[in-house]
Amino acid sequence: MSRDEILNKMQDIFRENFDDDTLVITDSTSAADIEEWDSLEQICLIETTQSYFKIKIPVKDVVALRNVGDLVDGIFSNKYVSTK
Amino acid sequence: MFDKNKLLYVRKKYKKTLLLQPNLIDKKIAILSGSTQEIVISFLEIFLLEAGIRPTFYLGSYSRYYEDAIDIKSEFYNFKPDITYIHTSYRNLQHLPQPLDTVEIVDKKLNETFDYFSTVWESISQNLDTVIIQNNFELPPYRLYGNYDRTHFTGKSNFISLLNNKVAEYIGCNENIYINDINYLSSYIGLTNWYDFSAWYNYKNAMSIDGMIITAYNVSSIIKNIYGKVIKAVMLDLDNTLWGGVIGDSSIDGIDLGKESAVGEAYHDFQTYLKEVKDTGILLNVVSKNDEDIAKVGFTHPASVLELDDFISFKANWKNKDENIVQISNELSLGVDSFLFIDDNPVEREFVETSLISIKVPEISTIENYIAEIDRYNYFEKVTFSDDDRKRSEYYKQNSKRDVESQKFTNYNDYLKTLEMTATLLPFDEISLSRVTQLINKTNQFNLTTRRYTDVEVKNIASSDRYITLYVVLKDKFGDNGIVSVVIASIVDSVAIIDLWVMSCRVFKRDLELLIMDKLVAKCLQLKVDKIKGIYYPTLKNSIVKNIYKEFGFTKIDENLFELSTIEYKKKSLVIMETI
Repeated sequence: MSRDEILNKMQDIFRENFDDDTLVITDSTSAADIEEWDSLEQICLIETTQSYFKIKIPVKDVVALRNVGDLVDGIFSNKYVSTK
Repeated sequence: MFDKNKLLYVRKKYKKTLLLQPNLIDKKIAILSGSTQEIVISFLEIFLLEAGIRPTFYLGSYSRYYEDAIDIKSEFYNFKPDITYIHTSYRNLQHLPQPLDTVEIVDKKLNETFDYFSTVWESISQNLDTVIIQNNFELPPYRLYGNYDRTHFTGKSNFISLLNNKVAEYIGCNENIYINDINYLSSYIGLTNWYDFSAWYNYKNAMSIDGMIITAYNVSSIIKNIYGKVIKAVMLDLDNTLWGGVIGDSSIDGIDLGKESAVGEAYHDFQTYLKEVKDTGILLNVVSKNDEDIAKVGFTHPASVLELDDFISFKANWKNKDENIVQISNELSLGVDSFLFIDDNPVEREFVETSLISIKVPEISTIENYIAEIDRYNYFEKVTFSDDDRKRSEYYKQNSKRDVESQKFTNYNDYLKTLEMTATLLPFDEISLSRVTQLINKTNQFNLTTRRYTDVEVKNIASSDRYITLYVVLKDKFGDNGIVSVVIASIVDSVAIIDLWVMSCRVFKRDLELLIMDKLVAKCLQLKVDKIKGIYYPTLKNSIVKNIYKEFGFTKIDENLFELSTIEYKKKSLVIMETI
């Protein structure tokens, strides 16, 4: 999967999660940009991402995430533990 | 097991569609937490909405369950919840045994831990009318001594088992508090799937998403049960559901049942399970495409655990199954939403599920899995187990005898006289309380106001002189029907307002309501109450009583309110004798 495809999939996950079909996300999107993005949404997003890409993101990496771009980079570079 | 897609990924859209359902009942639920609860709440909300309950939540601050419960000025008390769920877990056990502890120290830790929790329960139950649901504790994430952890007094596994026993013992002998058994749930999904260490350190989630789903589902099972959303009857297919093979093709010797074969033994065990289900008060019925005579022979098989007598209604014919189920619903006067349909054939399951939307239809695969596939959804969840439950099938059996009798008469009143009915009508007392509460919360048809009450509320009403209360036991020549009707009337300025009147569908059309109104009026006259006001709130299910106040001669005041002068009322009951 290319980096763009991963970003596109993340957009789908975000749109479904926030029930907003017009939502556009970029590498720099973070919790500060989406009003509804609270701790519950954060967990749901991570859980959905882990389950879709069949990965497990270790604690230290979750803590280090600054924005969507960091997460896409991590998935693209196979940084996370595979659960396939 | 659960549709994670609906719970997580499309939860917002799904919730919106659930909120569009008609006749949702509103309930306030407080969650006192020992860990992060937002996700558990979002799952619980979905499960309750699926059952027609719309919750409003109060969420205590993170890990402040003890303070919330002890401070009666807290937001929590202000919220006045119907249900209080205390979600604690292994993560909240601050004083677990350490290897160097003495026996005395571990003993002290155990008692102090238990006292800490029982203080919470007692503070809440003394200061609020609420139902408490309390998690017990899951086994620890590691075993310091391996297997020896279970026997040594400093073993954490040992400690948690002892603590769970104390919790169960307390809850077993107190009312209005129930265990959410996460000790079972965590072993059901396995501790490796239960604990999610990353989620604990990142978000302070005490358990994984799967753990939270099953926890929320089980809490919803308890809440549904409290508000009478229960399964009352099971509709069973026969061929390849209760025995292996097709009896019409192979005759009785050809069906697979009994311990001689692996498959036959599995069917034997499934029948044994159903017999136990029946003995808890669930009504078993047959809905099968078969010739009736041939189908009935199946139960004469020497290995058959179930007997013909275990079934209330037996429909073996070639009609569509939904028609038969609707007919059973009429015979038993029970709604299809309280029915469970069990059939090995996926085509029949889909047909019935599509035709009768509110019926519950578990997906079953092959006979060895049936029990587990049905059991995991808590269809037969109970919050009490009364004498009435134990005798329920018997009551319904007697009813079919009464039906046969009634067909002999052309005049219905003549028939009623031959039943030789007697009734006792008494104010609520200690022995009747649990059945009274159960009847109030389970009755949907003969129910004028559909108000639901907790044990505590009923108890308070029983001991107050501002209320007239009645519970009614009806007997006849076929047997004792048990407690079948309940009335609560509040007295305000010499007017009695009927807040609640319910009657079990088992005794409809027996003229019992006449005797009850006679009694209520007599009580009012004794107390110098000269007016009775009756309320009728229509629901989808209670149209059977929509004209009842008019029939008694009440004057209509507005849409929902009716009024009667007690002095002008004339006694109406003719066929039932009141006894003490």
